[in-house]
Amino acid sequence: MPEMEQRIAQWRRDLAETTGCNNEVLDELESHLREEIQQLVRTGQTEEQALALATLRLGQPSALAREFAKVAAPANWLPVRVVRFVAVVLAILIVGYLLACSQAVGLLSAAHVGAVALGYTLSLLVGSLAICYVTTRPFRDLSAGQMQELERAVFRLMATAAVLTLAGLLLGCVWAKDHLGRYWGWHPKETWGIGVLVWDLALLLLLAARTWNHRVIPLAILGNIVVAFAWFADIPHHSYGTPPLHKLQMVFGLTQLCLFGVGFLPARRRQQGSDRVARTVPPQQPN
Amino acid sequence: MVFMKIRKDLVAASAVPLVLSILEEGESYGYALIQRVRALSQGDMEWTDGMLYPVLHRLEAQGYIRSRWGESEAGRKRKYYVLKTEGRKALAEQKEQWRVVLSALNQLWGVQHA
Repeated sequence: MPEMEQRIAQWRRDLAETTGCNNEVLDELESHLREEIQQLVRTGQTEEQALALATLRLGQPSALAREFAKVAAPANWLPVRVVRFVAVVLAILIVGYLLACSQAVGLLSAAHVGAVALGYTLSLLVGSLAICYVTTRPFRDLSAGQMQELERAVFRLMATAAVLTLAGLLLGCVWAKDHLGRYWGWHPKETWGIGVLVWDLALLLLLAARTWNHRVIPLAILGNIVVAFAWFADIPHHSYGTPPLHKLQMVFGLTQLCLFGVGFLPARRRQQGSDRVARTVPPQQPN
Repeated sequence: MVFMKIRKDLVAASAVPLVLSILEEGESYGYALIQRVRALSQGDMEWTDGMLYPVLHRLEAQGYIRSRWGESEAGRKRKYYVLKTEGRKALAEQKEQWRVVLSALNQLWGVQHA
């Protein structure tokens, strides 16, 4: 029986990993699994056979994840709303500022800087959402609806960031041809720009797969490091990458790595009916 | 006896009226609901067990049913579902719609009403 309990616990962990379901849903599915096992054992199956058949009847975790994702209605989560608001305000400020200086620096240059700055900013905002997610989970697990809202916001922001970054890079190529006589020079700023684009696209692909999103979203924190290096890469044409800034970049990078590590902490159980029952139910007797 | 399995799309379409109808008989829980459907269809209507729960959760989110955690006879925790007034109204609509469909099919196929 202890071995059976371990196997059920392992099944539950695997299911949680794949589906990202909260503890209440897992409790319910585990309850069903136990009912099925009990019934199958009564009909003469061994416990091992009963467990194998019961898990098969419950369905593949990936299929379950897809079904549960359809059910969850998006629910408001404050960090998502704040990030959306900040994104709109920053977009207005950046576009307004660049329009004001477009006469001095040229429309092409302003458009290039604006697209890249907005693209990078949105990538950072996705990273900040990921930080909110990993730092919230150890204290309060997100509901399925909140998780869906977060996934949707992360996907949309990241898609916009990728499009803007790509547009910014292409505009930069045109500007470089006009002013430097070549489209591309593999300067750190250009190379890191490609790095941000590749990072954004990779994350989008992972999110589009719609499985393991609770593991994919924390990856966006690492994107903050890529963006920070891209933004402050030191090349002659961009004079703001000074040596002290490199130290700040390192500190920032280490901080982001630590926050990414927080993402591996287990989520706190939601205080719902299942927990109340769990405290009152005595340990299960062997069959 | 002809061995027949109901197609997935038909199983999916009938899931809500079946769940609501069973809950109309009284409070129940996931495992029992599946067993009841299996018994009613004499095993021809096979649900992937885990797929029932998203349906139950959606019905709960729509306000048709409500749930509570309780205990089984063996002291194991178990989530029970019960039909709400809104659910009864939704079920009445479903019944009307299914009756129209059944009536149309019966006329076409010449099946006698029970």
